Amino acid sequence: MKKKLNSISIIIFWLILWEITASVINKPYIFASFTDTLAMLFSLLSTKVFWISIFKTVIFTIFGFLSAFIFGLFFAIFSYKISFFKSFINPVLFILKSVPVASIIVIILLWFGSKYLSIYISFIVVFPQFYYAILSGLQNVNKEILEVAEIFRFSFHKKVLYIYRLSITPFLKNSISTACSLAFKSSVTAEIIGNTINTIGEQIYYSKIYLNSASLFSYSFVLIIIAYSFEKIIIQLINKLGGKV
Amino acid sequence: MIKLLNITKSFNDESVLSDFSYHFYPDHKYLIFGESGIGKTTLLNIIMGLQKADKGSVLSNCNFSCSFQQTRLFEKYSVLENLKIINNKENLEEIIVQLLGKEFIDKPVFSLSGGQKQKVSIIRAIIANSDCVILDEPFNNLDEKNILQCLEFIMNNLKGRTLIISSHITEQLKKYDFITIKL
Ligand SMILES: Nc1ncnc2c1ncn2[C@@H]1O[C@H](COP(=O)(O)OP(=O)(O)OP(=O)(O)O)[C@@H](O)[C@H]1O
Ligand SMILES: [Mg+2]
Repeated sequence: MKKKLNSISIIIFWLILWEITASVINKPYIFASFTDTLAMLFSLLSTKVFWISIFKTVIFTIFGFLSAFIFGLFFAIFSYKISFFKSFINPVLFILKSVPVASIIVIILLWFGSKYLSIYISFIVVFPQFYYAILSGLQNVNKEILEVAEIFRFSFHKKVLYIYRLSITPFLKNSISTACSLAFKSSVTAEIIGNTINTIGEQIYYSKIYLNSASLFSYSFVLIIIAYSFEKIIIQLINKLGGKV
Repeated sequence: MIKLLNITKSFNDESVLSDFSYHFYPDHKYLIFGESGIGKTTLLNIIMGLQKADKGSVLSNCNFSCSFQQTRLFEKYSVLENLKIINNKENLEEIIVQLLGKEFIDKPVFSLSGGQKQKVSIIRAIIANSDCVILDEPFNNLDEKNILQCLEFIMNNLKGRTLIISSHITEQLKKYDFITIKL
């Protein structure tokens, strides 16, 4: 309770500071105040484009994110089983991890256009996260518990449920926060660069063109809320499905 | 029936077993004893196929179940869950109540004492479907009274299977007809 009160007062402090700064700068088109932003957000709530943009960005990002999980899982299993496969795809993963996201965005834009850009981008940035987390989990499987499974003749299903799953879950938990925020940040960046129609990124792009900082702040705020809730849901899901670890 | 023929095993030039041969028959009880580090666990692992002998052969048509020296239970899972993973048919709760107490049924294994874990590990080995039960130092951390209680449980539920125990505690085993193998 006291902790909650503390964090609420900290947030209020920053909001007041924001308000004061905005009134000192006094250029609402480049630095909207908190109250302006709030007003803008409420007026946006009643527009169709707001909801369509959010819907499209969220659906595309989550689709890329979940595909990355499925592909990450299968690639990690192959790498765990076949060491040649692991060495073979290692350079690709290294490049995906080290090349700036902006370069990847431009390349995808060049090759596939902007239509499904944020699906590709959220997939590409999250895939290595899942791949490495799951692979580490598999490689860290407790050898002694595997012997227990061997002696008691565990079925494949049982081994997955009680051994491999429990070994992967902590690694997934470790990387899930990064993966979630990376997915949303990168796909909106991609939408801004690619100017993808009817997306949060496009709306942010227009905010820049029309010098509408209140709209920029509103969309950013909504994005933070969405990414945060998504992360919480995914963590809940992992806690529920990940077994007792 | 398990036949060990001329088993030889060494770790980095240190010989642990040399030219060891033995036959284990169904419905017999065996006690492997010998000082620490002599090779009891190694021998049991070779019998179960968890370790390979350098030389010699193991002939066996047995399904094993086993209690490991370091218990190796699913620590985050409850006592009942640990047993259910292995065999869901038996009257598991009754067994837990009998050997540990009612309050242990849903206790996570990590919260048990060393001796209590040892008991769960023994139960796990006994309730599993197997032809040969192997218990590696099953009485570690257990006092006289608990050893006798566990022994009674083991004997009542053996049902004609081969039993191989490794132990440095031999006193309490005397009243059962163990065939002793000194390493
Ligand atoms: N993986 C290993 N690598 C190297 N040496 C080993 C290994 N496993 C066992 N040894 C050695 O082999 C010998 C026999 O070990 P083992 O565990 O079979 O003894 P034990 O009779 O079961 O002892 P205890 O009564 O203490 O359990 C020991 O000297 C040990 O150091
Ligand atoms: Mg031993």
